[in-house]
Amino acid sequence: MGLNRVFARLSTGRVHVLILEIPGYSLLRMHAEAAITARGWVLAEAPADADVLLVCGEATGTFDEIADGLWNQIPTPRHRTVIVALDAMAATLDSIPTVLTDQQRQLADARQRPQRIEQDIGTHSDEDTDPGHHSTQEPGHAAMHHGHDNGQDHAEMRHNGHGAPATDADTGADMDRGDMEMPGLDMGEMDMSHMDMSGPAGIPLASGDESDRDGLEMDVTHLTLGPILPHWPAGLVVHCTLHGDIIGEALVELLPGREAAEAPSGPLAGAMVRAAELCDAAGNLLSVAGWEPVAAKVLRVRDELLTETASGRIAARLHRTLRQVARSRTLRWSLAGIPKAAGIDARARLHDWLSTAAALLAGEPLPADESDWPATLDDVRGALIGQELSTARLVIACIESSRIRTLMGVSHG
Amino acid sequence: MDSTVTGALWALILPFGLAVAALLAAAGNAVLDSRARGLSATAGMVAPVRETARLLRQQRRTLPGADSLLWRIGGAGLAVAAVLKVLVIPFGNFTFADLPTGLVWFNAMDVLLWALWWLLGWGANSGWSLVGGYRFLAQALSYELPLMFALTAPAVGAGSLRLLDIQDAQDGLWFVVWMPAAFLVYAASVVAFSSWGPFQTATGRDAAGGVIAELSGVDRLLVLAGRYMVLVAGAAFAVPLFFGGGSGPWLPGSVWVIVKSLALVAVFITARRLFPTLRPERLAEIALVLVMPLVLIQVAVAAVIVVVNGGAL
Repeated sequence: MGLNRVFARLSTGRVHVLILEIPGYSLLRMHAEAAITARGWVLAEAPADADVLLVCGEATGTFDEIADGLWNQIPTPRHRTVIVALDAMAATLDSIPTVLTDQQRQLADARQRPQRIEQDIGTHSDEDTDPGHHSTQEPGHAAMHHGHDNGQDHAEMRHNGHGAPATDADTGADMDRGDMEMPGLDMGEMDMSHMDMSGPAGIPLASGDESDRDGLEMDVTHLTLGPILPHWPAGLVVHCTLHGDIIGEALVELLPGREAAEAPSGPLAGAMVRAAELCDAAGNLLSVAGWEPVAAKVLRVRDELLTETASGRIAARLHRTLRQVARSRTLRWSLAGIPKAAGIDARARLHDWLSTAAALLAGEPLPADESDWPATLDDVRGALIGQELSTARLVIACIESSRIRTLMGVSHG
Repeated sequence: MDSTVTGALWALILPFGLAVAALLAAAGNAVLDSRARGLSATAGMVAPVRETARLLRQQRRTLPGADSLLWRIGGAGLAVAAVLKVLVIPFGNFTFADLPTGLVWFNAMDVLLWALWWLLGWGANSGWSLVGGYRFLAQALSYELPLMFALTAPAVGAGSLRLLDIQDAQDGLWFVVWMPAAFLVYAASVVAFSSWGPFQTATGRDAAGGVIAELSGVDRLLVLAGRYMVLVAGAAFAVPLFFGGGSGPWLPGSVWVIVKSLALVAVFITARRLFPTLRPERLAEIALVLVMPLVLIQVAVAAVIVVVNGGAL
């Protein structure tokens, strides 16, 4: 018991939090990230890496289902909570360690989770799942809603057994229809009568594809990017057909969130909010480019902008980071020519964001105004097709958050 | 007692020693991370301990269609490969296993890492993991050939594949002085096969963790610890190859090996902060067009020096 308690206390000193940001709550999400980091906690990369699912904003409809899907993938001990306003943040975060160390509650939660996926669906598969390994997915939920909506769930591996990419079956808006035509491909949900049982756990093997650019067999898979991915715009979902890790076909959609504009909270003037937003975007782009330590510096500036008012020290730090980013030849070489769309260059974009933020902090007149790429979701799609996945991530990270809001307005009236 | 038996007994403490070194490396990295975010250094120092406690308390998980056996082999294998690498490293005049082909043994172990990282990516039956596996293989194609040639440079210098011989051949001058290119390629390869710093695409955050995206609990702990252990083992192996092994004033040889190894680990941790990720597809071009000829020239230069000089410098 003593050892248990020591372990529990140690482990809650570094809670990993998975944030589900509802579109329209980006400021709240930034505040949450700042508060989480300030506690020495960590932002989770994926559900498997998380202890806590923190929903930022009011989850309705689709997002409620997404939250359920994520929740089912988080290993015990776990906790799920929602914040909709900044003033509730501290109390909500403070309560997390107590819940995670509550032995009885966590044991009860672990017991009610299914040991095997097969048991609940009532099909028998010869897949050998070690009974000691708990599944973190509930098939009940899988049957209720389809993988397309589940963020990073394992519908990502829906290999298409019919030789045609899934996106051919989808006409666009109605995402669930595609699933209806491919029964049983989601999350181990099984329908024996319609299925090619050739693959493991009844998931059909990857196939070839006539449009395949590399001509390799069995490397066409499907992967859904978003709505939960580290450093990914809230509400954006890209359903990809991959050839290896090149995007052959893509379907882009934006999930609707809150419509009302977010009121700045705390002691923040408009310019500071804008500067924080730009630092957020730059930090995300740097993280996607794989330069975490420098991204951390930029995000520290963002956090300080959100929580402090003395801007002299912050500006100095921002300038230092800006210089480091501008000097790096490796970054220039690694990001050169990305993305190929609309004459935008990831490194130039990064530089613009950081220098605009610096100008805002100094109260100087702003440099050149923002570009209007992408004008539609089709522009995004066009820029993604034929790209390697990590390039695609960079392309998406180059889109300004204000552009995403505009696109949201266009696609949802 | 027979020296082989003594070696075998000592080898029992090897995994623990390596784990402690890995913990130190993780703590050092976490301290720097904390500082970058404006947090206290203490928070960084205890971070690996807290992380370990957290992962030991966490539930393991599996996925529909996961190839559990291969997946777990990949996960546990990293730490094992790291221990096997350290097995042939001489600590002063003592070595756990004095193989006449120690250098080839090391090379075999880093080829093993190809399989392990790939199995981790493959076994999970998840999109992002698979992408991580692809990325590692793409990167491995770039680093492995230059690495193999870089490893031959010290062997040429010493005229032996036995690590004690390679270490002793550096009595006059450390190999790093007249084989700088070989050392740089070797160091970059260590960072690459540990999926670390500028070569971390296989475990990149942009791919939600890549090969580790679906791991939780003790499985994740084994991979994260294994990764640090591989990094430390790679650093330790550079000591007999390029830094004169246990040679140094005042302290015993074994201590010097440990000190030099940890210094190299510190260099690797710093490298993570200095360079952004190099994307595998761009890396291939440089590796095969630029680095390969460079390493071959390095080996040629080393060979000429050995012939002219009648041995190592």
